[in-house]
Amino acid sequence: MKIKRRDFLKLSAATGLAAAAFKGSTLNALAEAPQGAIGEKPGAWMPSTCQGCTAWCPVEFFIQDGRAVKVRGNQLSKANNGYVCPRGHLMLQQTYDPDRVLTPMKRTNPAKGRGIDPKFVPITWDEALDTIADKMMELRKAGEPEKLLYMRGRYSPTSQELCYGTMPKIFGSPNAISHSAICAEAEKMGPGYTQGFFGYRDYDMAKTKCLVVWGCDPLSSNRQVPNTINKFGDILDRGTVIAVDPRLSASAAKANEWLPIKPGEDGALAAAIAHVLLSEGMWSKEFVGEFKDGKNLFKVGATVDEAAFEEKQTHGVVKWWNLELKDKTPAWAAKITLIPEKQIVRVARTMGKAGSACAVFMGPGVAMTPRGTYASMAVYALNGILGSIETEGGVMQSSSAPTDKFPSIDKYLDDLAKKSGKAKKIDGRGAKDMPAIMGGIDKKEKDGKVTESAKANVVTNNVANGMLKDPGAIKVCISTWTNFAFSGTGAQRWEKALSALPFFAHLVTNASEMSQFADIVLPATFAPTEKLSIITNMANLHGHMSIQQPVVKPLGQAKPEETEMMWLLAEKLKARGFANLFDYYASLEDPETKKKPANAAEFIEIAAKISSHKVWDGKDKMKGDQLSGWEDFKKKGIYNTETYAYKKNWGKFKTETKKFEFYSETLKKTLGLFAEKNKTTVDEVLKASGYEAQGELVFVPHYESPKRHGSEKEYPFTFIDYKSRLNREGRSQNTVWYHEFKKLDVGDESWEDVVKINPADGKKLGIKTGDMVKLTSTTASITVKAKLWEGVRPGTIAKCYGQGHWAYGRTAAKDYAKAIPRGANNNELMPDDYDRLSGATARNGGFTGVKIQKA
Amino acid sequence: MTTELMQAAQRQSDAYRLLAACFYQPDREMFLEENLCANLAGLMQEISLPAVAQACRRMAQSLAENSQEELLVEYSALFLGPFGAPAHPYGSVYLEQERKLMGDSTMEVLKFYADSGVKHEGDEPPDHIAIELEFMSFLEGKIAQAINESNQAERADFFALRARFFNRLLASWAPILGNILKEQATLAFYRDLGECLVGFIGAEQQRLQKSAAAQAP
Repeated sequence: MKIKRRDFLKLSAATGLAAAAFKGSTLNALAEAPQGAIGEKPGAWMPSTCQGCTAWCPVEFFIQDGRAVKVRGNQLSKANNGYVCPRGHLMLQQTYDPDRVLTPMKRTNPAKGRGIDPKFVPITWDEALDTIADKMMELRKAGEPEKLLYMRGRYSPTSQELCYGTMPKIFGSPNAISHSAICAEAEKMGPGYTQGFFGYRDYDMAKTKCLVVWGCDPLSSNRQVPNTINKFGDILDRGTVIAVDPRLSASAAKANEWLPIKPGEDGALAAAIAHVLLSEGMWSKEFVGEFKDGKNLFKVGATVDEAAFEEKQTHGVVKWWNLELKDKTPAWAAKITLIPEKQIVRVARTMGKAGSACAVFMGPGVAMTPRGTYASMAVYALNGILGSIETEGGVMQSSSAPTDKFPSIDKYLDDLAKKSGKAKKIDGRGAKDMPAIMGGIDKKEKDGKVTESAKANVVTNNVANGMLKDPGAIKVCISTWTNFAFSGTGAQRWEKALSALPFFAHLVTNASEMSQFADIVLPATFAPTEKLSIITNMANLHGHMSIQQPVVKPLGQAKPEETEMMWLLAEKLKARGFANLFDYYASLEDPETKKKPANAAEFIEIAAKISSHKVWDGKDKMKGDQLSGWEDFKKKGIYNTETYAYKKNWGKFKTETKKFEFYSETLKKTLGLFAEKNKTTVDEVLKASGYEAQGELVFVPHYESPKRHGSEKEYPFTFIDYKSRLNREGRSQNTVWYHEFKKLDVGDESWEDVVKINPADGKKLGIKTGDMVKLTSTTASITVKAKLWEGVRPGTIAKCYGQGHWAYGRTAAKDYAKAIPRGANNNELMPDDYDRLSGATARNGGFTGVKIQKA
Repeated sequence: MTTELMQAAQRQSDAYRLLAACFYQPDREMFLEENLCANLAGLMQEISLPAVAQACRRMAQSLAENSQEELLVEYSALFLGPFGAPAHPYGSVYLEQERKLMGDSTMEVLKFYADSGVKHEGDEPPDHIAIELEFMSFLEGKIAQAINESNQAERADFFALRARFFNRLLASWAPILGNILKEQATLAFYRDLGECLVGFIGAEQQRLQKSAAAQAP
């Protein structure tokens, strides 16, 4: 906050105000105005969108006198029925967090590291962007624009294209890195390589007779919390809820059956359930097909003649049985999973009875583990056997509202950008030991010739390794809404990598561990209350497009990163002789008025209108809601699509066979293309990437034993991490409500960060509730409070993700100056490892062995 | 008598304003050129607060001795963070149970501004210590003006507004902030600014109590 007028510092005698005609004092931040009324106007609900988890709920804020005071779901939303979950309310405290970054700042202490005060001082946006543009131009002048790295955390699915999808490309860097592979990408491998759908699923929970929540806790997180809360009770009335989770989650606590599986053994349980469903003849005849003579030949241990079975919507069920399932009996699985044989059979029969109205709701717990791709395929394939793909009560592919893309950037790419844009990416994707083939086959057509290759997906957490391996590879980094030095496993690697980075600008709402290493910290708008953008998502069989808008004036000098900051940066680059980015932005056109943006504010609005215009411009008759124009859309804040049509992709799944593939021809072809490019074999790729399967088994969902860091002898406990229902992508820990209401997470305590240990283990170790314990993995130790709790089985310990901030605001961090965290960060304990087929970070499945000592 | 009263109100107005200026991002050159701390010391001396005046003189010395960057680093560390400022400059952080910006107390501040015929211009929440001190300066100025114009009704209105704003809001948290500065600042400028704030607000509390007693029917 700067003094605007020098008179403010003067004595009134010196400014003539003490003369006889005294007219009051000199003002600086205040100005005389007619007397107004505050607190007397009625206020109004204004629509926007929450992005606290992946549900991206359409919401409304109640605004009084320019202040947001209350939150609810958008009353017109079909995805959340007008409700938010508990985390939605935390947006008020996030918006008004006193520790938000309110002004751009620059570091004055060149030394970087944990516990070293960066000595940040305020600067103007102008100075900040001048510095960033100078650093960027140095790269272009040196002919090495590929040394620019842009990393994004939370983003808008539409305007991200103007930043992540455009800025690095036009500048000439291939290094645009998304956070997604530390989130849940491996989960998409199951539906991807069986059904050709590499996305998050929707569920017909209004009709489901049996809901199997597996490796997730949809009452708390992932991926449609308000909808699940809304429907869960009815499912319990109507049928059965089964929860597969090593921890007694909120869903497990309410479920009819809880299967506290040994961490990482999900593939074994899925194989056994599939075995029961097939051997007991409970597969869907409509979806899978039938033996030609009607006689079930799926008998324990027996190989079946493929010709004996006639499949309908699926491919390879007999191959799958022969290669994997015939010996995977419940008795076999019981020994591995620690789930009693009887319970496995009972659960399989309950699922089989519900048939195509049984939805297996799979989450990251199954998949975000080394070798997780196959567990994901195995669990997801149960939906295939049950025939619950796109059926009443079953599992849907996603619905989406029609967005429009921004114009092509091709003509704004200069020769340098074209050349350096093809440089090797810093995250190591596509190497023989990191296939990262989440997404399947990439088909490109040029001059009538089709070329096919394996898609290469981001390996976010490996960026730190890439930077450490080649310290000169990245010289300038811009990152928005990220905190990988906290949120990536093996978090300490990021600290090392960022310490050595020559220049780093970090745009965030709150300074965090990553900002500790920044040269410039920039204030971000808190998106749900201060940023204009268009957000799309789905739930409850409807897709939606919802507006995210400044329902209040941004605090301090906060700016949205994808639009305003990019526009201003482009202006700076233009002033330095590189106009391509600016020229591209300036070429955008308002779909209504055809006007091009003349300034940042116009650019922001035009971008939002381009993304959304199909739903409100009246040119096409929409199948969902009818809107009368941009103003109507802004007022209502939402467009809901038509209801998902059952069976709409039957016969045209995006797999190689167009069928649901139990034997994945799609994976076979993708891996084949990948191996060919790397001049090796599929088996070698699998081996290099740490998988156990070889030969034909590679192409079917199958059991892989869990990889574990640390021997059971030295590290006898298996650590599991989970998410709080108050977690807002790791950003809510500076709100007092997070801590006050932490006890809403089953087994947790308010204002504490406890590790939960089974009482039997506690007795053996002489540990009681409230004792401080030191947890040690192969790579690090953390110290936390113990709580004895029966919600984990002996041998497994659980702790919630989110706390352990050592550089954050005053609620999240215990003592920033001394780098003392409040609680402890699980990501320091867990080493970095990957499900290498997807490129996803391992964070589930008990891959971390720990020992427990009294602290 | 009227002239004396008017001059006293003007002095208070100046004292509040110059104190407010010290809470802005430091501009060493401008502060030195305008003799900010020396003038503030003079005002404090005139209003019989010798210890506070002494603190202001130490601020002047610190200003002379410390560089712009030193002042800026200290100002940022105390008031801006960005990792959670120890001396948050916003009233609501101290007055609200939920430790937030734009709380009910902030809206009350806005209401005071609106009722008094001023509005806040800027991106910051309106209950920043500098803005609240500026508002007090404005009120004292209005009182001086009312005295000068012999407008008894207006004088009484601004007396009442001043008492309510000061007692309900500013005085409820400014001493806490002042004490944090006294404890946490490493440069004399900000340590003594804390001293100055605590001393001045404390003296104002007594002055306004006396004033209220004198006004009482």
